This record gives sequence, C-alpha cells and structure tokens, in this order.
Amino acid sequence: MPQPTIELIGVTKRFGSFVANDAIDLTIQPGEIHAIVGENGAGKSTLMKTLAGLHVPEEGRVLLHGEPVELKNPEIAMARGIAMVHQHFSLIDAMSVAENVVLSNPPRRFGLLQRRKAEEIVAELSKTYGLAVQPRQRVADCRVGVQQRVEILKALYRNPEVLILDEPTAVLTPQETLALIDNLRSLKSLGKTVIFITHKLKEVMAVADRVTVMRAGKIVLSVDIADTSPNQLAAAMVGRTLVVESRAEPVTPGRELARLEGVVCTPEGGGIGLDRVSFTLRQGEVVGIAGVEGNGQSELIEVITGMRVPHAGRILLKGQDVTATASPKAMRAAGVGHIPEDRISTGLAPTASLLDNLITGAHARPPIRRGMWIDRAAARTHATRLVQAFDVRPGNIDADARSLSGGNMQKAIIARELDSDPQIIVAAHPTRGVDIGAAEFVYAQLLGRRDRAGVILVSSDLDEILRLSDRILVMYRGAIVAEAAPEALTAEQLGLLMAGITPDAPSTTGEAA
Amino acid sequence: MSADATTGGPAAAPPANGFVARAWQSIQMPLIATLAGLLLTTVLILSIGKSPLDVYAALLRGALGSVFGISSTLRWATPLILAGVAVTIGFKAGLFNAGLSGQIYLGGLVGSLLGFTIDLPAGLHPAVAILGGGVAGGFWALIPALLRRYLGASEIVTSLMLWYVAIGISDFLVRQFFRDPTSAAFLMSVKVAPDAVLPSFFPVGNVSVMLFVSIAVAIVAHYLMQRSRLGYEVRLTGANPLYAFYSGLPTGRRLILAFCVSGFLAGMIGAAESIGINQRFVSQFDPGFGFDGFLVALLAGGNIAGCIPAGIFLAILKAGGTEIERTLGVSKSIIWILQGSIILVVSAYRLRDQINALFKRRTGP
Repeated sequence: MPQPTIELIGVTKRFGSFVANDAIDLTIQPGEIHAIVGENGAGKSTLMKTLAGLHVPEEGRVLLHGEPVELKNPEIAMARGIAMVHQHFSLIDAMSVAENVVLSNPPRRFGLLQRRKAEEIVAELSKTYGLAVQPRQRVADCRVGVQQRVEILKALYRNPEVLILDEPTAVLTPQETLALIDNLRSLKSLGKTVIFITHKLKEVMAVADRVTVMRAGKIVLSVDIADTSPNQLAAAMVGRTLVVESRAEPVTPGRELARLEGVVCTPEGGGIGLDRVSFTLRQGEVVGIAGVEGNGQSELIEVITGMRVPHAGRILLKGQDVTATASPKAMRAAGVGHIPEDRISTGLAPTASLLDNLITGAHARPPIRRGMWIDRAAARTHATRLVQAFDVRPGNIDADARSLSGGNMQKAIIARELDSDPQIIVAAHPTRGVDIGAAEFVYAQLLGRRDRAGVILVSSDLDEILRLSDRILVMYRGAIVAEAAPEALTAEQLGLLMAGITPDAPSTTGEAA
Repeated sequence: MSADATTGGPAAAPPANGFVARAWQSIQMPLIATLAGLLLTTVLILSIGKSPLDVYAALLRGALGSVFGISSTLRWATPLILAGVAVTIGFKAGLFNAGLSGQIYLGGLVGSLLGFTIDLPAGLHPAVAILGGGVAGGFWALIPALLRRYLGASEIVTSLMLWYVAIGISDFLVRQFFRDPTSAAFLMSVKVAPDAVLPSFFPVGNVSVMLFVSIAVAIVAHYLMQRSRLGYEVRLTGANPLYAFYSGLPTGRRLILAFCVSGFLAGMIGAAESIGINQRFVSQFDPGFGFDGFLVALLAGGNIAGCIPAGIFLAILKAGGTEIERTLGVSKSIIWILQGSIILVVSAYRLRDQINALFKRRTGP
C-alpha cells in the first residue's frame, strides 16, 4: 500500500464542553477523491478546518506523507499543499474576479499588480477547469453561483496537492455540477487528492473513490464506493433507516394568491433583470422555478417579496394591486413569507443572538409585543418553541446566530418564516446546505402548508424541483421560457430548457413566448 | 487546578451563561486594557526618574482624596457618561456620530439662550433649558441622519463637518446679539437668569443634579434599548441593515431615530455645561467631550449602562491629572498617554479572543 497523503490519528477538537471531533482516525490516499458526508453539525467542516490549519485540535496527530506536522495556521497548511474552499465565501466584493483569484500571490512588476497578466491567468485557469467566470467582473456584481466558482479558482490558483471543498455543489446547477465532477476527475488524473463535503449522495456515488460518514463528531463508516450504496450511506448518516417519501398527492389549486403581469426589471448590478414575466400562484400548489443561477430567479424573488421595485408590469397579491406600495413590510403584511437565498447577508443578523433573530416579525405582535415593550418571557418561549420544533442545534438561544452551522442557520430562518403562517411562501434554495434528514423535514413543512398556502420554490436542485412542484416554470435570461407539469419532464429535458434549448414540442407551450 | 482559580468557577461552564460569567466577559477587556495602560505609563514614569507609586497615589488623591477631588471627579463624570451613552446609541444602530461636539456646541447655545431670554420658576427653568439644548442637538443630528437616509451620505463625514457650522453659527449669534459687554478677551454671552442656574449640591465645586440625570439617562436608555420594541428594531438595524429591511422593519426611520437621540443627549451636555458650570455661553466651552464620548463608549464595550463606570473612570483620570502636575511636577499629559494606551488595547478586540482561547486551553480537561 502506498504512503497515505494524509493520516489523522485520534484527532479531537472541542469547543468548550462540546466535542466537535471525537478521536477521529482517517486516512486519505494520494490521488483519491474522498467524500465526507454527514448531517449538519456532525463535525465535517470542523475536521476539514483542522486540515486547513484553521483549527488546532486538542489531541491527536496529523501526518502528511507519513511525516508528523503541526498545521497551526492556514499559511502552514497552504505551504504543505492543502487548500480549502469554504462554504461561505471569503471574497473581496469591491475587487474584480481576477484580482480575487490571484490575491494570495499576484503577478507583479515593480511591486504593482499586472492586471492584464492576472486576467490572462484567470481566463486560462477558468478554461482549464471549465469554471466560467469573467475575469474583469466585480465580485459584488456576480451571482452566488459565480462567486462559488471564483472561490474554487482561488484555491486552484495555488496549485495545491490536496483540495478540500466544503459543499462545493450546493450552489451549482446540474450542468455545473457535472462539469465540476469532470474537473475533479481530471484533477485526480493529475495525481491530486480531492476531499469534498456534501449532502448529495448522488454526487458521492458518481465521483468519489471512497466515502467517510460522520455522525455526532465520530466516524461511523469509511468505505470504498464500490462496497456501498446510497441507502447504506443515508442510514449511516442519520443513524436510522430513512423513509424517503414519494411525491405528495397534488392538492386541487384553490383561489389565486399572487399574480405577476408583464413584470420588467432592467438589468442592474450585473443581474440579468426580468423580461415580461407573468405567472399566477394559487393556493394549494407549489410552483417550481427552475433555471441556471443568474437567469432572473433572484430578481423574481426580490420583486415578489418587495425587495425590488419593478420598472413595468403589475404585482397582485390576493387580487390587490400592490405594485405602487411594494416594500418588504407591505408584502409581509399581505402574507408573504420569504426564505432568502443568502442566509448570512439577508436571512439573519449574524451578530445578534439567535433569540433576537427568531422573534423578528413576531416581535411586533402580541404576546411578544406588550405595548412598547418586548415581553422577554414570551420571546424566550417563542424562540425555544421554534428551536425545538425545527431542531436547531445547538439550541442555545442566547448564542450569536453566527455560531450556528449553515444548515442550522437555514433551519432557524425557515422556522421563523413559516411560523407567521404566510399564505405566499417564497422559498429560495430552502435545503441548500441542509442535511438529508432536515431536508425531508423542510419538504414536509412546505408540502404540508399547501392546504392554506401557495409556495414559490426556487432551486437549482432539479430533483427537489421535480419532486415538490405541481407546476414548473423554467427561467432563461430573465424570461419564463417554459411551463410544464413535473410528470411531463425528465431531469435531462429540464436541464436542456434551463440551458435555453427549447425542444420543438415540450408538453406544454411556453407562456411567455 | 490553579488555572481554574484564575478564571473563576463559572468560566468552566459554557460561556455567557449565568450572571457571573457574563459580568466577567464584559469587564474582562477594560480590565486588561487598564492594566496594560498602567504598565506602559509605569515604564514611562520610571524612565523620567519619578516613582510610579507617587504618581498613581497623587492621581487617586487628586480624584478621590478630598471633598474637592470627589466633586471634581463627579463634575467630569456628568458629561462623560452622557457623551458615552450618546455614542453607544449610535453604535447600536450601526452609526458613528462623529459630530457629537457640534451637537454639544449648539445645545450649549440654545440652552443658554433659554437661560437668559425667558423667565421661568427656579425648578422649571433649568429643565426647560436643558431639554431645549437637547432639541437643538437632536435637530443638528437630524441633518446628517436625513442625508444618510435619502442621499446615502456618510453620517461620519457630514456630522463632523456640521460641527464647524455649529461653531460658526453659535459664535456669530453670540458676537452679534448676546455678547457680554464686559467680556473683552473671551467671547461669551450675558449670564443666564439666576433661576436657570443649576445649583451645586456639593460644598465645593460644581456637582449638580445633572449627575443623577446622566446616570438615570444611561440606565433608562439601556433598558429601552434592551427591552423595548423600538430598541430591538434599532439593534437589529445596526446588526444587519439588509436583514432588518428584508424583515419589513422601517430601517430608515430607526436610523434617524437613533441618530437624533444621540444628538439630543449631546445637546443636553452642552446646555448643562452652559447653565450649570459656566452660567452662560462661552465660546469653545467644550474641552473635547465629543472625543471623550468615544473613549467612554469603547471602554464600555457597546454596553449603554457600562458608560456609567466607564465615564466615572475617565473622570477620575481627568480630575486626578491636575494633582499630578501640581504636586509632582509631572505633566498631566501622562494621563492622556494612559487614556490613549487603554483605548488602544480596548480596540484590539481580537486580543480578547486570544486571551479567552488561552484561558480555555488552560482550564480545558
């Protein structure tokens, strides 16, 4: 057996009394693609951060090529050829894509950045790995999916031996995911080692050589991919056999809840804008919005939730024209609940306590509102109830919201948004970064609301769209290019529609043709 | 384990649970900063061949060792506490009221104007003058708040610039219309009516009922910020404006409110200084309360009620400095060095994390 690239022996990492990693033994062979799976809070990210030099474990040893090392900080890890792409981006918004990618070691002449050289390097890198970016675009103007690609390129720029990716595909489209999987394979063929964290077992089965399952800070399974199955992995992750429910029975659509008529938004801030978008949401249905990230879905969400004012067209909520008075406040008052696409910047106040985050909205109504005061006891009861009902872990409501893992942040947001019993639920990527068990819970919540609400579901996860939606709208370049029933579409057909390739005879003709 | 004794029992439990642990968390940084500052000044004092113990003894004697010293400390604590609260309220909303001095100045003008132009009974007159000064300060803060809200102009720059405008307006009005004819070298207004003067309740010095007003304002503001609906919305707006907007909160109005309240308190300082200490408007009466307010706020670490001890602490340094100079011949600049180094360490918030990590490792099993 060859010398392993990385060996972890008895690695233990504690946060206070909480044991995030408990005596972890893990071996990574050179040139393998190693998937790490597990529920939110299982300790995956913590373990990877230990490898990247961001955490120093209390106990245990790390060997690189059989040689003991102390990865005390990220610089040391990088010098040893370990690069990590984090789940949450660390990009400088005001700088261009190229500047961000080369930041760690910019091409310089007389101490000044050679901008053109940097752009060439990044264009080359982008081509090599098939991760499409515009080197001169400002990061602030890039959509989330593009920013993720910039992050990956930033890590690849350092030409690492081991590349760690924390949920790399969470924000990628199916096509981009396939491309990334190809890239991972080609990296592997160059003898590089790839470790990636994911929730999607499909990807694990497609690309990994070996998979390690973590649960509650421990490794419960570490096997070759040939010797396992998705069912075995899922069971190992949640510690029980998971009943994956089939599609819920459709509910007969009821009254009209929301209608958009010819809504136009001019492109701004790098977005594509909206091109005469019209559709109707009825009570009892889930309308899935499919599309490659950056084709107007974000703008559509912003218009319905009042975050953005359209330049033309009308928005009607429950028959009322609200175009002129559109604001988040007005839309919420009209019954809109919003699970936003970016939880850190929009969905939460990370530096405020979980308690403060959970009572937003409810704080303006009794019993939490008591005259001009916030009733502390009622607020705590409310927050505790949400934490328990949605299994937010760890459920310390006095801790800052930023101390939660991504999946638990998402659970907290969903808990808060659904608690006000909204009739129009706008859910953007509701299960992004959420583990299987929690995702099933979210699905059940959304479907369970159909007897009194309608759901607009925006997702880049096609399986999610196909499984939950009663109707699917496909967006391309700011317009709705197709509408279809989920039974009438396969994932492949949907992928083609999203790429702007309209077949001659889709099951239903596009509405906005 | 001896390390346990260092952090105290409760620190072994998860952080920020329980009163003692929380109190320790909030006092830890100012304490470390003060020790670091004292260390630096000790080295400096030694290097000029004086005894640090003498200097610190003189400092404490000057500030607390006599009735005069105590009255001097309390006199300085009165505006410092209010200034710290004014700055902290801005911080909570994510705003930086760099123009505190301008609002103080205008508050001083309007407070003294109300002091000598109108006639009111003794109890009411100072109250009206101080509230009037507050309104003036609040109005002066409204301008940068509106500029920020509707034009996106940085409130830091606009409020700071308006400071100079406030000086210009006040000095011009006093010079043209209200100048005390007997004043020659200094620009000052006529005296306020005797009824408007805030009397000192100390045998010596200038400690007025304003001291209790300052402390009460800090406590009430703290309570309102933590427990009221408006306070919650202001805090949320400060923590993440985009989230607050997305949640349907009227973020613009909350920003304006917080900034105006900050200006109102600043205006109160100016008015109280004018009618209480100087008994008239004196040009350049503000010895830098605006800047001191930031020191108090930083020392209090964003805690409004924490401005009370922080304000008293800085007042001790201010009051004791004179004694050092008078009895030991050591320049009271040493106090500024002490203040400066304390603030430097307090601002280095990452230091706190490292110190906490150190303790955690030592107390870890």
